[in-house]
Amino acid sequence: MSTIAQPSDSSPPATPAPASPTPADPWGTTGATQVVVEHISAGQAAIRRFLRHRLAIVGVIVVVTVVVMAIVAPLLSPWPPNYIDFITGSRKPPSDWHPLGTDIVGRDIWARLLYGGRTSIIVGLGAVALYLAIGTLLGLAAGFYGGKVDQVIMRFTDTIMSLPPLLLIIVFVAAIGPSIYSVITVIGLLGWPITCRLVRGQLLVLRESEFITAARVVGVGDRTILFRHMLPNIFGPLTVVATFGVATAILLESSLSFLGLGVRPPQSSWGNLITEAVNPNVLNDVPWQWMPAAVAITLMVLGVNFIGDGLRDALDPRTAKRG
Amino acid sequence: MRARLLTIATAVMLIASACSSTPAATTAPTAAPTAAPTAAPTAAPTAAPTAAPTAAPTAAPTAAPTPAARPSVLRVARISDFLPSIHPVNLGTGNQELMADITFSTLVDVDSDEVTILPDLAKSWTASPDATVYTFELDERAVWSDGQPVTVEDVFFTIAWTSWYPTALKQFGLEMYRNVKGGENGSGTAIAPGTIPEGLKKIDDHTIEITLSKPDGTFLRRLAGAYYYIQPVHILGELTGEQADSCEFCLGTAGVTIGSGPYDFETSISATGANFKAKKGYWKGKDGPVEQIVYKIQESNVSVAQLKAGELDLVIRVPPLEGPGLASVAGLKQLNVPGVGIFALNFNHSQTDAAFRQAIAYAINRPEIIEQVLGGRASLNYGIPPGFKLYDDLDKYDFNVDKAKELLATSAFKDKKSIELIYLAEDPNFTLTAPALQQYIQENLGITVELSAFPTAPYVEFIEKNNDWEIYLSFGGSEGVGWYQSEIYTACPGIGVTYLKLDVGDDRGECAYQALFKEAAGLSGEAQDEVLHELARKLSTNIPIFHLWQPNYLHVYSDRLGGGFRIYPNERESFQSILDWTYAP
Amino acid sequence: MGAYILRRLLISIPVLLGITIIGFVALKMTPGDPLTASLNPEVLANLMSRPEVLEAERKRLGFDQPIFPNQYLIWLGKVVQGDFGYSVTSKRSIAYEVGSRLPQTLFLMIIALTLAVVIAIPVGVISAVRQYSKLDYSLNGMAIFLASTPVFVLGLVFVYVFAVNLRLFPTSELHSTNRHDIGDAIWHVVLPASVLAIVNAAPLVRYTRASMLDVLSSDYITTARAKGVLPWLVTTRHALRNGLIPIITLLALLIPESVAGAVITEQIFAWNGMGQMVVKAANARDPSLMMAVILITGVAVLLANLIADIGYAMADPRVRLDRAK
Repeated sequence: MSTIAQPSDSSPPATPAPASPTPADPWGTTGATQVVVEHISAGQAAIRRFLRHRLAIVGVIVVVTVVVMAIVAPLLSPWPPNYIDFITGSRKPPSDWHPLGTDIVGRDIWARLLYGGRTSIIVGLGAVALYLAIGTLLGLAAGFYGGKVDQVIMRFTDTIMSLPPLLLIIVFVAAIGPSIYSVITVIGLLGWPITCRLVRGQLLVLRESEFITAARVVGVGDRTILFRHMLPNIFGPLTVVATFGVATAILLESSLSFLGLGVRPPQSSWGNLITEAVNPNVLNDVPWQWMPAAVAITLMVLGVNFIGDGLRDALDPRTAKRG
Repeated sequence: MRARLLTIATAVMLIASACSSTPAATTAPTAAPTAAPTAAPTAAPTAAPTAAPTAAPTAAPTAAPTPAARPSVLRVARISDFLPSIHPVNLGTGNQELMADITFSTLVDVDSDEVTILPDLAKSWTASPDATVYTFELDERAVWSDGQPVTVEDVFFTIAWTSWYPTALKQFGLEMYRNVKGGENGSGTAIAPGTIPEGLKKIDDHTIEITLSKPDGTFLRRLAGAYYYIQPVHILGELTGEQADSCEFCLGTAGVTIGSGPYDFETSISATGANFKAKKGYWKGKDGPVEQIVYKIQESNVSVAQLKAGELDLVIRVPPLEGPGLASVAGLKQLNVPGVGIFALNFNHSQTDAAFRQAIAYAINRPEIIEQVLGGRASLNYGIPPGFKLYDDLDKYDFNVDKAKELLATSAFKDKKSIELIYLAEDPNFTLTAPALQQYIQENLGITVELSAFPTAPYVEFIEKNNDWEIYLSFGGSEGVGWYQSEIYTACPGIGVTYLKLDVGDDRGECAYQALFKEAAGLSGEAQDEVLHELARKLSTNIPIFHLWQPNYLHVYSDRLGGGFRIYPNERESFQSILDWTYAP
Repeated sequence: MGAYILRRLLISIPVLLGITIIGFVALKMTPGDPLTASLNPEVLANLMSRPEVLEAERKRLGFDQPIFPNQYLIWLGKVVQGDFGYSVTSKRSIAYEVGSRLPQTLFLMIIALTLAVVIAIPVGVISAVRQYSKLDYSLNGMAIFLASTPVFVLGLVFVYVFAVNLRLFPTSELHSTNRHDIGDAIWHVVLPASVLAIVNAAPLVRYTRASMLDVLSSDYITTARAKGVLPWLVTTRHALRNGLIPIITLLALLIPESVAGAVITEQIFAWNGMGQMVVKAANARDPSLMMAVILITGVAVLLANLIADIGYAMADPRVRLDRAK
């Protein structure tokens, strides 16, 4: 049976990624369908499958490299990211002093690239952590209690999902004023519907499963069932959603920066670095300004997506066959 | 199915290729460059311009021949922000001034030397030796777009209105009219709407006499500014001060907003600009050089791309750094001129004192910023506004860290550990400058500088409506015209200038500056120089505003523009001379 | 069928209300005097000088009442009647602002989505039919790569290469000066629509491929193959029809994504549509404009979903039987 965009009970039907062109869920597994996580030595089997996924390993290498470089940024560049080197001046090509040249003000691009990576990663992780928490809680509530609670939460989810994410984010970031915190908060507060639906869908399946019925019969309390028995079973698919979510959030941040609603200058972010290329002269004559960041963002997003693919295939062997 | 798709694709391509021939700009009326009125000395009675008055002003050239080719078009972009107004009280940007330039007329114009006064609505004028009584003889040919003649009443209305609704005057400049005798009754309150101040006298149907309450030698020159365009009383007669913000006429609406200038609104002003069409048989006896002006207000990057792709004929004020990248584009010329707009640091006087301000001034290595960040495309200021002589005893605020630290130690605000610097987010000049200033202040004074970039609307709102800002970066456009233009920046609040809330409560009393400006305006020769010297010294010591530098202006234009084509350096890149331009098809 | 549609419509009502609430929140969150965003500026100007009238007006519009539900209901009543208020920046009515821009955005999006479908579905189908071939890998790889590149990078490069350097197409805007014909508009829409189409096509390719793979591995296809039906006939006659049905829903789902892409694309190509308007409104913090954009896109997406769902149900009877239960 096709799992693709099969309309679920609620409307509109299961939908892909919370935002942006990233196919966060290109195969439709996170919709209202079932991902049955095997229990017997599932962890080990999954790890083995993941390690066999060549692209995923490439992804891990890329992402780990980028993250490590962002963390140890001060060791890799002698220049602070916002420091203007008046001796060298603006828009100078790569040199011994500045391995990637200087930007329009005279700041070191290499340093800004490293620190920009920090910004992008923080936005990616922060926003996803926030919406994962919200989505999981709402999803748990909806799936567990059902009835009116479920109805209200699902309609709320539908509402948010029927609005283009970027549009909502633009409006609300503008309303509270652009900064890295507002970007994280707004993406976090608006990105949860996918997670919510996923958790709810999983819960509905789990609710009917034998081990939960067994637990109930034995007299285990609601809360224990919910958090001890059900939640751990959802971790797998949640990880997949989270991974794709990080990629999406990084792209979103760059889009916001492009629109002038991202992190506040002079703080560096990959989006800010690339945005300089809106000037055709920079695009042509100052490639060191934007190309490294463009490459970095593409590599990072590709890497994260590969990891997501690998994780999904590892956690749900059925999809791997189709991949 | 595939075959059908292929057909569609081919069709699209065919249409695309059919349309790709460049829209021909044809039939530019070759406006024969008639001898422009020769340089008339300022404030001196002038002879009427040579062009003989046509018999009847209403002889409209109706029954136009069937439109043959597409009209000649001038595609202009100016890089600045959009403000939706054309009423003088709101002429806040050069965009609006340019649009006003071509749709309205002022009593007099100014030549590109920014000194010589030329006729516009007034074909001749006189000024009394003591610079208090002025007469103007209106050109009897002058008509509004609806055919009504421009009358003495229109002039009276335009001037008197500012006295009826003084609180409406948001932009500095217009309150000059209140200097007309009877325009201000004592405490600066409004006079009853409808009353004409006694300083406005009708000599005959076409001649007026304006008497000022205080002598002002700058009156004529100022009248040439776009702010002072004459408004039609038969349309705006009932306009109240509050309505000036938003009435249809005031918003630049096609068909509603009519003037006596050579062009009419063809489309209303929108966020992307407006189109204008040349009046046929313009009353000055000569039509605009192109039949249509497409005026675009857009981001600099879009303009640069369009210039490179040959889609624009004139871009005013391209960021100077883009010059080299545009040099290779065929058919484009560049006009790189010293700009008159000045970058300045504006200090809130309740948050800073003179020593603090001086410390900051000394802590910034301005020549280095100009050389290394601005690519040498700016000229240095000496802290005070241009237009003043550089008297020997004025401090030039050369970069001096020791002096800066010394001064900071004497300041009452020496314990300030951080300050917020507000600037405009969208203008590349601001985003270049602010971090450089930040670094110097932080490194040399140990004061953390927080950068707060705002888009235009919140920027203006923040500065206008709050008084808790500390420092903001500003860029002023027209004060280079003469010392008197800089009065705006140290004016006392309460006369309509809302965007500069200098605290006048302290005993240095910024009203003192304005008093000196006013005093100098009424004097001439050595006496004037003495006052100006005093004023310059005060401005230089207190630096209520620290003038950093004047970036160059880069205008890029098509080589098809010729004749008397010029972009005035000072008068907000005025189009006043547009009737003398030519445009080769 | 009727019951299904009715049910589907009923479900949409709370979502519609939800959208209005979000729009209202956006309106209220933006700083500024609510009066300036809701009154005709000319009317407001006349009132300004009379504080007592102004106060009465404030009362009449309910700004002294609790925000929720009173103010919300008053506001909702006006919105239903088409009164979206006034733009603080342009001082013109929202209807005027939106009216001049909505068609331009729709034009771009319809062309872009059509292009996307025209590109993505064949690519996805080929990719699926040739699973694990070099072609499959490179097509799929390209789709993943494009989905991982920020839209605006693609757009900027397009402008630079095709407009600035090659001068094949105009850099920006809907029309050349003084041209208003459709041919000119199509010439102008090629670049932005291509960018937007590529962005939308990337996920679509992957969905189509997955959907086709599902169908191709199903029993009836195997049967058909076993019976000796020609391979291309199997693909076109049997697989394509069933494999493409889920795409209908997907298209509707792409619309929100596509709107987001349009915001960026419009910015790059100075395309004076809703996307550019919302960015300008956001930068100027113009509450009514932002609210209006949320309402309009929300309702549009809702409608698209509704139509897609009904279309889906018509194409695939299993769905409506399933739902009718």
